[in-house]
Amino acid sequence: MSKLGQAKRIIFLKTADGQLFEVDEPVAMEFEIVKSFFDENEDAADDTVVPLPNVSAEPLAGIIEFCKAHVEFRANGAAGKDEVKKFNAEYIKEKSNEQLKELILAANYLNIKEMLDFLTETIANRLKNKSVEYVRAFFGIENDFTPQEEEAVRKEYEWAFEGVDED
Amino acid sequence: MGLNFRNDIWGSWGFSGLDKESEKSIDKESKDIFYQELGGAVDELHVPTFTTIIQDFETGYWRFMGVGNVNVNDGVVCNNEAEEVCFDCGGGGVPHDALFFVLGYLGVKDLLSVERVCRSLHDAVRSDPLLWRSIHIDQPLSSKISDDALAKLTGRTVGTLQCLSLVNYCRITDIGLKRVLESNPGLKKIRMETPSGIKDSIPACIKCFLQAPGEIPYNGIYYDPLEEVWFCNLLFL
Repeated sequence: MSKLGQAKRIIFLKTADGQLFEVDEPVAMEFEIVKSFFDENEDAADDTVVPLPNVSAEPLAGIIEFCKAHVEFRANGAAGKDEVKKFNAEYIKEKSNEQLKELILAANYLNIKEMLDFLTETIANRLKNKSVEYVRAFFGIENDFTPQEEEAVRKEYEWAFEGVDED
Repeated sequence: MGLNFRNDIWGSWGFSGLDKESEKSIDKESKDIFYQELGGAVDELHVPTFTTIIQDFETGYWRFMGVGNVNVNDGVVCNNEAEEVCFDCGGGGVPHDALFFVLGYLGVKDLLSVERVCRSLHDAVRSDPLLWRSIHIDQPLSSKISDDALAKLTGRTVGTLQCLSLVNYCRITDIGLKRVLESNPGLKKIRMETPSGIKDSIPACIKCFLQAPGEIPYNGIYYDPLEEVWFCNLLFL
């Protein structure tokens, strides 16, 4: 962590698609994978570029935005307050399902627990109480069961779906 | 960690991994269970198709890594590719990898829905006992679930059920509950409510083990009136 009066340290991250990101140290240290990189290479030069071969620029930009805001919330003692909830709600509102899914994979790879929990819960909420057909359509999943298999799966837990509206 | 989506049901207690201590003990336990189960599964395989088990530190779950399919239990095929971090963008009608992270946040009813979506989700839901270790059944499912259906659902944990909560159940009998208790020795928490309330609903098989709150139980069960749940086997926690 940079101290007051000291120049802010910048961490360089390089994405799979070759983009270079300059990130403030406290934000980059939210990424467990980056943190452990520097923990293990204590004498790494200040201009070391950390390669992130599994993340492309778009999700990384989204993740930096999220982490930056949350680092600031914590610094201001606003963690867990309405302000955070409001930011999270706004953040999600602008994201398509496709973007959310990419963010989840990236957050998993970078190992950012708080963000991954938040994202997966958001997707889970979008799936709750939805019919099978809805889930397929919503996520573009093809039904690859044979009609016999599908019938068998449906029958097995038929009792659970009796009287449920298809939405 | 993996089960913290049910925190709302269980309050602060449980397997949420909110503190490091409980997280550690659960992880060690699940690791042991998985090694045991995999030991069984490996014997049945003609070709060893997976290489290792890793802890998914995001969810606290233990994951299979490797290629190909592994038969884990009762003929259920576990598609390991789904659990690997790969960046195939999920085109062509196949569920996106990210969806598999979401499963841990879904309840019983939604898991039963999701397993009907396609084969890989079906396999992912059925072959992961950890998704079923904390079973909460509320309306409208609880009024429909029968002894047999409960046995089948809890059976998905392969004997590792830890929490069971039945709210406003009607059709579960003492015999059905006994069956679950007997086949899940690791059960740590039970909550049962009939539409007419809690006290009346204490099934005989639990009642005979009932101890006063605060007493140190010996492999027994006691009722906590504040939380309105029974704790079992606390001695071994």
